[in-house]
Amino acid sequence: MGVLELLAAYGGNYLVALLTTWELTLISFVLTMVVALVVTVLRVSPIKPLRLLADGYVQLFRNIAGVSLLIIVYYALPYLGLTLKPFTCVIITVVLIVSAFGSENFMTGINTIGIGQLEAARSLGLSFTQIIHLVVVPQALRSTVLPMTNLLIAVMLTTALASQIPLIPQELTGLVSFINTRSTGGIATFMISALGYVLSALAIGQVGNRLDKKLRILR
Amino acid sequence: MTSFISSLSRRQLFALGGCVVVTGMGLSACGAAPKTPVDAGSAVDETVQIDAEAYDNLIAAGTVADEATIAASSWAQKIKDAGKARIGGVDTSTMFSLRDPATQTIRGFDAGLYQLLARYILGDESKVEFVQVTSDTRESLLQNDNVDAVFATYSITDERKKLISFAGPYYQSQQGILVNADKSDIKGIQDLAGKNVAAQSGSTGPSILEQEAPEAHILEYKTDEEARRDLEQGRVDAYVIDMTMQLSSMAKNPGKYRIAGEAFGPVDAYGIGLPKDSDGVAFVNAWLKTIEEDGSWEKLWKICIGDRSDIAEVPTPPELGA
Repeated sequence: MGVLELLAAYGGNYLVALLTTWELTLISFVLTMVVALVVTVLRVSPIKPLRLLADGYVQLFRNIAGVSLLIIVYYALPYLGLTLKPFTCVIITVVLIVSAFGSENFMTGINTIGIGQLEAARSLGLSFTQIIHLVVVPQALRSTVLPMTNLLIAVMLTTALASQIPLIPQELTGLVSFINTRSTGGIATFMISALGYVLSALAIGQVGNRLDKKLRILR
Repeated sequence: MTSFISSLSRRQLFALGGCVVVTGMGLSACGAAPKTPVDAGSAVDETVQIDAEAYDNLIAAGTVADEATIAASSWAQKIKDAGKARIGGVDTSTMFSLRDPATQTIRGFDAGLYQLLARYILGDESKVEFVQVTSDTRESLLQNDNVDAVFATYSITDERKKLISFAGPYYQSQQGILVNADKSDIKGIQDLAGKNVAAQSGSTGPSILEQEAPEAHILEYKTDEEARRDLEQGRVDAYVIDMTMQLSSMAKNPGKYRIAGEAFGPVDAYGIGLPKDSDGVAFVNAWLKTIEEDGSWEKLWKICIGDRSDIAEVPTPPELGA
């Protein structure tokens, strides 16, 4: 089957799959940012056990292959009495892994803040919460727009893991095996899905660049 | 990393996963508590093993083609010139192609056939360059000339024949319904309506199910192991795939499952995937005829399948000509 035949027969499925990929991406990214921010705040907090815990989190999930983590979440957790839906499993896996990388991005952002600012904040009598809230996070967020754009793209590409478990409806990568199971499309089936990723990534990249130009702190 | 993961058995991976998760939650470490909630790691492998000695002897006794036979086929000549046969296969199928983790050798019905074929062309069954394939990549690998042939319980379909050519068929089967041994509400295909039914993506299972049991909810899994895992966990009520696969699962897990009702659906003929319009089709078919006539096919079937799933009656090889 050629590209046009595939689109004629499965165009609707591709659209649903693209939307599913976007849905997974969006939900995962929002949660990723929340988790990454919390983990990062813990990593710079004055309480040592919390710092160690958060550092451990980053080291652990930065170094696990996505597929193995998904297999653990989907197939091993039921042995601990926790049986989750495929959709939830994908989100959990993506968030756990990508938030570890996201936290590293935030750390980089924090490191761009001059020590003088923090000293000034301390001498003004700001508490840790106030320093984080008023000084660190706003600057860290603004200087990490580009890395976070990359992270959003990484989230989208990581959702392809969902093809490894029976997610219904399938996302772009899972749809490839769905179609190739029913009517052999060969490489063309992959190409249409790949196009969905590429175009989405280009759009994300454009938005990220504009946002960065607007928000970047000129030093 | 990938090779590390694949060298672990799925079971070890689960146990490992259990450790990570449990440790991650700060409950207890696996090392400290031998009786973790994960009992998958303690299960004993009860698989009825292949008779490796008989198998190796059979392959080593395979016939070798003369120069003229090979020169008559450009496909075979190309393999002869390269000095090795690039074969696409899997190494996780108990009956058809399973890698022995200790020795790294692959044995099974498919593996035996391609080793016999490599011996037939090259005079040495070990000169096989094994390429791992999945149901999604088989056609692409043949189209891109990454492999010379694919032996992977590869069902012959008209759709696939548009992209590649098949030699054979060398084996045939039908769909079977696998359920947990203690489950009695599913007695045949008619009971699948409204149930969650697992099928393997890339196999002919999902399409057949859509026709024969249109009211079943079909969930597609990448591997047989994963589908059965969810069958045991109750996410699905039944698992439909080729009867041969089901028999191998039963040989692997005596007492765990049973087959519900009769085999159903169209006859599934396994072929040997070859590049589109290759003259290897005639060559491989002639070779298949040889091994079917000299009894190697029957012996191989007994060693790999019959003796291990307690089936005494040797099937007749299907008519050649895909």
